[in-house]
Amino acid sequence: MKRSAVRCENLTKTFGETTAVEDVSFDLEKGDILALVGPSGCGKTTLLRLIGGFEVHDRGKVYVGGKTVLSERKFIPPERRDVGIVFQNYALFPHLTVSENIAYGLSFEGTQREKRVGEMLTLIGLEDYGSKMPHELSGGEQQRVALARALAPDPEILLLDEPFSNLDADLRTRIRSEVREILKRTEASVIFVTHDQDEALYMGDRVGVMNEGKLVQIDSPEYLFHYPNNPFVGEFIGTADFIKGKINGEESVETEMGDLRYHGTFSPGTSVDVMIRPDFIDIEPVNEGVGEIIDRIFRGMHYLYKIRLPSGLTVRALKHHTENYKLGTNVTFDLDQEHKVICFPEK
Amino acid sequence: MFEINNEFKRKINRAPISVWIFAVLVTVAITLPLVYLGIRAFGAGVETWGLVFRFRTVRTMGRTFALVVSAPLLSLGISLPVAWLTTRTDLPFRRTWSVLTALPLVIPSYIFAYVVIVALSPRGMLQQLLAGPFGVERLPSIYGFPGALLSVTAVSYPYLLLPLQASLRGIDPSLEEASHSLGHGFFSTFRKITLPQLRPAIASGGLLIALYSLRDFGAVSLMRFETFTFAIYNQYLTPFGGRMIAAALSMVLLLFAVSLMIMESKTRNKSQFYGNGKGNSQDPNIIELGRWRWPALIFCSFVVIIFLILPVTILGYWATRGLAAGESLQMAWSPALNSLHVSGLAALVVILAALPIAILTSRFSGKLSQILEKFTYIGFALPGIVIALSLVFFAVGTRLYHTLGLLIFGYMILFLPLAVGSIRNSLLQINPKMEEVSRSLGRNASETIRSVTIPLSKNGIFSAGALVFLVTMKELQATLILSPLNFDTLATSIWHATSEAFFARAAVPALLLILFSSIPMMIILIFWHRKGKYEKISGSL
Repeated sequence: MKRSAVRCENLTKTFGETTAVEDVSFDLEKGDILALVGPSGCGKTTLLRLIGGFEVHDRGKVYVGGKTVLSERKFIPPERRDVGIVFQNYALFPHLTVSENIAYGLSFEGTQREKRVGEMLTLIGLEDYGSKMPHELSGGEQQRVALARALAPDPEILLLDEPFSNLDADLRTRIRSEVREILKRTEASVIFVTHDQDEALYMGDRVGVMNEGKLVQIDSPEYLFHYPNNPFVGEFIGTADFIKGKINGEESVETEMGDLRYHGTFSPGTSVDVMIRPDFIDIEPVNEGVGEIIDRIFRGMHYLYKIRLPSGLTVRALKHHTENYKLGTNVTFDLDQEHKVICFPEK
Repeated sequence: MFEINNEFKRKINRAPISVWIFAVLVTVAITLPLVYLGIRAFGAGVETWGLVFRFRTVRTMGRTFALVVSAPLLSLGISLPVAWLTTRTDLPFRRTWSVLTALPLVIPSYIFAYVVIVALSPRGMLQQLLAGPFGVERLPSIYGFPGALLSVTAVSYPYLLLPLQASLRGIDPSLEEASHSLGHGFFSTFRKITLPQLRPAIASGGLLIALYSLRDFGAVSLMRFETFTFAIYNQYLTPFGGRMIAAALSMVLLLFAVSLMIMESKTRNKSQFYGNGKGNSQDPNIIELGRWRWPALIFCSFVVIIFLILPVTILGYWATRGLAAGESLQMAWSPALNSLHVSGLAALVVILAALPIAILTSRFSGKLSQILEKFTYIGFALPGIVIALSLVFFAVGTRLYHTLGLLIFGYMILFLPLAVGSIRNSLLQINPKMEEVSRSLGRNASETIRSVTIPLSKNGIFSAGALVFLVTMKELQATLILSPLNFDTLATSIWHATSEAFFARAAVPALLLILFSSIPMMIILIFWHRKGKYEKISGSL
């Protein structure tokens, strides 16, 4: 088994009445990227600041590289944690040059120091920028310098706090692939915080979904998408609609759309909420169909149809752009799906 | 096509002609006496200039230099810890300390010098206290450099404290956090990251204090420490050609003052470059002091006791002692009325003179209005003694000499930049769309100024008036030279009594002066807090 980079055990932090982080435990292996995702105010940034040493916890433990940095009895200050951090606004020191910024965290002097700064500049592709001042750089360049500064002392763990949120949308996709490549090349262990699910799925080797201070689920991006353990995760990662169902066989659940194959184990007769993703189902215009198209969103390659079921609940279905149906069309569902649906115990 | 557009634009953005005429008149009026002084000084001939560049002047220069360098340094030693403690730590009663440590700003330097003299002079109050138990007969003299430095620093260190507090509050907290995460501890982070961020505030506050020391007359004259201002005054009193030497010395002082001014404005331009471009809404990190709370509290108490509580207590003691010994309150009554009279008049006149210039420079910005604005800065750079002297040269032999009108005119030159700045700032915070709405509803430019611009900047105008009232009340040098004969204000009566060692006689006017200056100070603070009412409305447009 690979060495652990960061381990949190039952970490809890409250601000007065509100619980920002509640009983969070996880283990991140060395060289992995963990993307923490959740709506704003879910506690992901507080969790990051607890690991970085900028907040004091109420309960629990944090280990970095196997060493305890936070427990009931121990608080190691940030400067002795071996934790690198890249802030949302990059926080480049405005009075220092790019090289001086990168060299700031290095403990060694002389040619070794220069060599390391040179390596980092090459890594981020800004070899000629060493003597520039931060305000002379573009947003994307500042971002990379902040990354190089944090990586230069070779920290046990690198924390990234919403690092792409200050960039324009079109720049963001380009920069994030550059950053991921840099991180993978340096084999850094990373915790990356974002509110953008696309970014989380793209960046993370593992993705942790947080809600109301709790770490709801932590798994690989694919697993998280296909097998959410909680309706919140299902809705937050990807698009999902929920309808009512009753288990009527070993792999079958009865719904108003018909019988669907499901993944999981429930005893027959259990009432469940069934999660439907738009690409899981196929629709066919039929006059006597149970569903009625009530909205249509053109997405270029596809149409996203919103269909009202007899109970009044709605589901969405994705169709190729050639399948153009009018509003009010009655549809039936093609139930011979390859995907199994996910069921949750009824709320 | 492009030129036609510009022509149209000028039509929209043309200030009413009456505003222009008034602004130009004011500017010419405040510039003329100085030009005249320059002509006289340079026409003074080789003989006078020979007298200027003798050994005595070199020593004056040395003394001035010593004060101008030491006062900002000592102020930094006081201001930096206080600013840091009151903004970045969990020091108990932080707000209260913030206010109390800034208050010495209302004390004029000559009142503090008076307190220092009665308390610390060789046979002063401290010696009396020590004489009993320890048999101390004499203390080392406080006159000269130490007394002048102490007095000037005591009343000017808030010029450094206030910008330092603002900067410390404004620093992006993630800079310090980034430094910590890169392995730097508290002291290393403070030295390498925090302090460099404070550099612009230190430079501009320090230069303001340097300028204050250069211009100060009250403290150095009472401490008999002959810097330029005091030397000029002494020459001015010397018969037979002294006035020509005073004029020449004024030109030298002017040179220094203007260079300090230029340096100060340079640092301000540069500071924009340091500002954190990405506005941060995060509050700065508050450091828990723990056991260090106690030494911190002792330090802050020490500052407040030395610079605020002790001076006021000593004044109170001497006032009661004076009254008990038969000093009459009547003596203070007529200077007090005079002070209120001239200060009120000056506030009114200066505001009227400042309004057109402030409106021109903030609303109808162009080449000519920028030049006008530069000229109003004359009062910022010039020590009161230089302005007073230029007016003396201008008016001597005419009916104007030693009239109230000339005195008020002197105040106008001195304090116009304060008023223009204050009104201009409040105008700049009003969204110009307000005025555009008024124009679109059929009001022309001057109607708009009357019905929209001036009412909206009422707060700025009132606080400018309060500010001018406050500084006029404290003004000493110009008042000494320009007042009508036998016309004493609080400031001049304190100065006369102290320099003639009638200590008990100076205490009551000094207390009155502090009281009167606190009232406009409070008005300014109240307007400061009320600020934002109009701005919020206009900001949401």
